[in-house]
Amino acid sequence: MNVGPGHYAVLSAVVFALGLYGVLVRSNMLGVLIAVFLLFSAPVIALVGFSHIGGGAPPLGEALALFGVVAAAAQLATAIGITLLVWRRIGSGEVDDLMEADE
Amino acid sequence: MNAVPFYILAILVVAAAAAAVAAPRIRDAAAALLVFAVATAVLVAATGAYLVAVAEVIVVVVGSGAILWLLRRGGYRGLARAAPLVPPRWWLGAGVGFGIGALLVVVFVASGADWFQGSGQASLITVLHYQEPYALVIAVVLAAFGLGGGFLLGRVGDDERETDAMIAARRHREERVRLRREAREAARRARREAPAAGGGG
Repeated sequence: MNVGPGHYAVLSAVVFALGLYGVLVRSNMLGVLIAVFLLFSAPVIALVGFSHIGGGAPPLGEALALFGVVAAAAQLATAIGITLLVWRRIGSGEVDDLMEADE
Repeated sequence: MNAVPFYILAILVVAAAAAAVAAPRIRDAAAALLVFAVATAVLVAATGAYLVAVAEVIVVVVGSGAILWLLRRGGYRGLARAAPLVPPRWWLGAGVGFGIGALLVVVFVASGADWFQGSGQASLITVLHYQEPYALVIAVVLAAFGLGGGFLLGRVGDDERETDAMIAARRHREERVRLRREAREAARRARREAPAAGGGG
C-alpha cells in the first residue's frame, strides 16, 4: 500500500490541531513559541507531501515549504528576542502577566 | 513512499508534537520539539525534498539550542517556570484544536479527487535559481530581517544598560533615604522613652 496525499493532509491537520491547542493552553511565552513553530511546520508537511504525490514538477510545493521554514525561523528569532525583552522589562515570561503589564 | 515507514514516522511526529505542547517543563518541550523536527525532516527527506529537511533541522537545532542556552544563563532561568500538568484552559484549547483539525481533515477528504498532477522534472534549486529567483531573494531577506530583528530586540543595548543603572541608582538612593528616616525615628523614639524610663525608676 502506498501513501497518498490524504495521508500527508491528515498528518498535517493533526500537527496543526496540536499546535493550536498549545497556543491556546500554554501560559509560558516560550511554550507558546514552541506551539507556534508546530503551526508553521504543519503546512510544510502537507506541501511537501502534495508536491511529492503530484508528479513533482515544477516543485512549487517544495519551494513554498522552504519559504515556510524560513518564515518559521524568522518568527522564532524575533519571538525569542521579544520574550527576552519582556522578561527584562516586567520580570515574567507568562502571557497573563504581559496582559496585566499592558493595563 | 511505502505506508509502513510513513506510519512509523507519522506516529513519532504526532507523539513528539503532543509532548512539545503538553510537557510541563520548557526544557522537556524543547527536547520534544527537537525530536519532532528530526522526525519531520526524515519524513520530508523521504519524499525527496532534502533541502527543506535540512533547513527544518537547522532551524530547530539553532532555535532549541538558543532557548536551552538562555535558560542555562542565570538571568533568564526564571523564564522556564514549569506549567501545571493539566492547564486551566485545556478544554478550550482541546475543543478549538479538535474542531479546526476536523475541519481541515473534512476539507482534504472532500477535495481528494482534485489533486493537481504535474508533469516534467525540475529540482528545487533550479526552480529557485532560474524560475522563481524573487522567492529566493524574499526568503533570504526575510531570514536576515528576522534574525537581525531578534538580535536587536533580545540584546541588552547601551541605552537599556544606562537606564537600568539609573533605575538601580535611584532605588539605592531611595533605600538609603528610607533607612536614614527609620534611624532618625528610632532615635527620636529612644529619646522620648529615655526620660520616661528615668522618671519611673
